[in-house]
Amino acid sequence: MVAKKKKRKVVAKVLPTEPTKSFYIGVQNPDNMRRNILESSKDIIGILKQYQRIKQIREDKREAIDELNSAVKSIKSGLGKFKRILPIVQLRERPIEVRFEGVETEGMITEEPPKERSVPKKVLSEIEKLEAELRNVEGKLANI
Amino acid sequence: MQKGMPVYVKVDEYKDVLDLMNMIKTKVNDAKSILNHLNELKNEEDAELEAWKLNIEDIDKKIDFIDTALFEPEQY
Repeated sequence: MVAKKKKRKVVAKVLPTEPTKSFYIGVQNPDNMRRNILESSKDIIGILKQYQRIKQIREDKREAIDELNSAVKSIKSGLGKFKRILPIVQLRERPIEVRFEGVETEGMITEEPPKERSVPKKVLSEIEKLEAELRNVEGKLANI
Repeated sequence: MQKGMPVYVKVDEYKDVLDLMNMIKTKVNDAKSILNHLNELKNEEDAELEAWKLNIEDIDKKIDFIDTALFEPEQY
């Protein structure tokens, strides 16, 4: 015969309630602290206002930069038109003759400048295009 | 053509050249005024950021005072 397990009723033990202990820390100068907290809140609101102003300034700056960019593009296109209107002339430099006393230059073998290697073309970025343009203009300036 | 030789512009294109020059001059003046405006905005932004920094430092001091008063009360 199998003995049946007796079911026991589980009764939650109720612990005797203890009065909750509260600790207090004395604030010696509550007015000062309150003032500090309020002033900090005021400063935070001031900072949020400043943030809005800075945001507005940056927006204005962005617009001004866009305007400047557009003005510079107009100047560039104007100068391009100007260049097209002016007649195309081939400027030629006068050959500089260098003579050494007692040395005949005729019949001398001169070295040819080395041929430039062909570099594979790559897609140029905006800055690289501008740099190439700048080099081109500087080259022309040097020839004048 | 040798260096320093004069260049002649056709009369019918001369007016275009003058108009173009006026346009370029106007645009350059515009660019100058925009740059001035940008400079003013930059100064304004710098001033705002400086005030922001001072405000944050002020708050930091106040928070520090509150923190010390609450967690090290014996000093007060």
